[in-house]
Amino acid sequence: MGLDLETLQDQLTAHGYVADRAVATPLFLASQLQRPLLIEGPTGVGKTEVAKVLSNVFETELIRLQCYEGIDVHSALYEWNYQKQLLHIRLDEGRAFDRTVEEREADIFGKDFLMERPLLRAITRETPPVLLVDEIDRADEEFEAFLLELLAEWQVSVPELGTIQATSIPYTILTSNRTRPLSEALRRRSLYLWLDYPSFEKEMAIVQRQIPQLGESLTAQVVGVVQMLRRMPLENAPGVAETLDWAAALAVLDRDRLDADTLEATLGTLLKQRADQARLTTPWLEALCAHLDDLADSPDRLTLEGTWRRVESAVGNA
Amino acid sequence: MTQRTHDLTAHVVAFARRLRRDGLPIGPDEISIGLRACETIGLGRRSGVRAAWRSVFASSPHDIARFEQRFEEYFGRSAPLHDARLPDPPRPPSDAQTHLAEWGTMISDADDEQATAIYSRSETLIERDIASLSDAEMADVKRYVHRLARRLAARLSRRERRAQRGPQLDLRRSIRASLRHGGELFDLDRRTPTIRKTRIVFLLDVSGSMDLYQRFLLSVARAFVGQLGSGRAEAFAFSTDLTRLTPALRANDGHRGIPPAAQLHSSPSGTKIGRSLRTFLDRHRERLDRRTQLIIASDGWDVGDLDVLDGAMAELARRSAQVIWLNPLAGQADFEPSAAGMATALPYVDVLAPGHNLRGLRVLERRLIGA
Repeated sequence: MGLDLETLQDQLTAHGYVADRAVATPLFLASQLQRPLLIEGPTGVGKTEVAKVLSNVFETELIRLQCYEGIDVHSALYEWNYQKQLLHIRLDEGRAFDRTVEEREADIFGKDFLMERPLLRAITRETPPVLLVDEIDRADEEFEAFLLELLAEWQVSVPELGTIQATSIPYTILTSNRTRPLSEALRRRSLYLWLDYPSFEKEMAIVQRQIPQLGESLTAQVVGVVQMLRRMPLENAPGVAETLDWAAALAVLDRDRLDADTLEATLGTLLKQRADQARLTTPWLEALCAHLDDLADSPDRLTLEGTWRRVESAVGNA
Repeated sequence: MTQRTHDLTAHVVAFARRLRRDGLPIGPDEISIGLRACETIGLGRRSGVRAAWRSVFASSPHDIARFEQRFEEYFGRSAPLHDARLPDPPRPPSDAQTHLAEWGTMISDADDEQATAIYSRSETLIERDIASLSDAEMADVKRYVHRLARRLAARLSRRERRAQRGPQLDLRRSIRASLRHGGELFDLDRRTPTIRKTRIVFLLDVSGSMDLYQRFLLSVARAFVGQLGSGRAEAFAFSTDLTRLTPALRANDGHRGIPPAAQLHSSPSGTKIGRSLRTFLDRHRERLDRRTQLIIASDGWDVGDLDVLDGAMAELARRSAQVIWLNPLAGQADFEPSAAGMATALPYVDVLAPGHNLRGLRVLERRLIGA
């Protein structure tokens, strides 16, 4: 593909994903070197989003495999179409006596009866799709080992059919929330990208892009509050998706400033856990509310840092 | 002393080797990808090369921190990449004294190759007191613990097995079998889910009297938390207060040492076991259910109110599948559970096992798998 790093970076932005050099480079490299890219980071930073926008940029299909505890080859790679097999056996009954068991077996375990699951589909396309293996840390180690083999050999063997060679190598993106350590082999096979929460400026840009009607000072308040929440001792810090949800909610409410009442009333969009909501009430929420206006007046990173220091010391004194 | 060279390959190799000494998983494969990355990205763009190498050489947030530091050292901000300053490698730190400090760190999967050899060696270590082991023996024990946790995790998360009777048809097997009868489905193979969603909660006594075994027990907890994954294994430390260790144990990938939280409230004045267990019940009751294996590691020296301990133990036993107590003193020949706390807790304990050697872990394994 005649693509260079700058073009990819511009294209990502054009498709609605605000990507800096540190994010664009590993993506570029992975696509050029045909290596899988392992993306880790806290929940809600948009790891899955990367794969979606990449498939838009490359104008290719996105094939997604969502991992879960106990996922196995039959739900990830292929399965036989049993209903069809049964039907075929029935229809075939009249001829049952002039054919051997082996012949009939070969018949119903042929390609016509094979149902492709995401992984098999991903390696048998004409043009390389984007393959997203989401939350690989939720699958067990046996599955991880199987996946590693596929990612290294780009072929799979189906016992009844033999070896199936990849017709094209998909752009592969693995995401992990680090709920368990991944094997060293898989880490080494993949390029690595740590996706952290966006900086104040970057998150401002994201919100302004998605919800432009919000206005600069309210956007700064929204982003500032979220950025400060992420520094507080919460079980589930709000991700970028939560920021956008919240901003959208405020846009509907048609506010141009964020005040303490509105913050409290809409806290549920940001903190989804009751324990976190309870944890925030006092003294954090009070301190936060007392300093809400700072950010609206001067929306920049320095103000955020100053506000955060005041919030922290207010909590320390309480 | 520095030496200068204009050979890019030599730089990449030297840089990669330095990172490898820092513990990053780098081999010839990574080095060759690192070089290809330079070709693909072009050397002109420092930020591009840096981002590219970061994705090739690092594979965890901890690696990234090391990488950034070394990149600054080697390639600074100004010098062109092909004219980097290569400082002499610093001497590796002497680790004779640090084996206990590093003891909790996880080992990598690559070590599995040595597993068979270690297994037989660890047989001879089974009875040895953890406090008396050498560095090399420690490393063996560490691997043993890691493998034990993996084995258990695999057993505890298996989801389905074949069965004569069961809720789900195994069509794959049934159809195969039917071919022998001309396509008639005589025998229906079935699958049954194993619903043994065992959860494990560790409560570790980190008071002064447990000092020698603290790191060993912490590393056991870390191995379980790491292998069983989120929600399935939890660990807490207690002495005079209670700290949740799970996030620290999970977060640090084993690169760092023992989480400092464990040492926070370590107090020589003694443990209030009963009050700590009560605190656990107050704050984290929901982490226990009838499928939870509760593992308490403590020597049972309680300086608190024994009535509180009695009440807390009764509730813990009621709320969990079984209570396993690892006691480092239990291995001594003349051991009797005479410490006041231990004696109070004993009626509620399903298994009392030694906590000072691998024998105790063997007991643990048997009880968990049999559960």
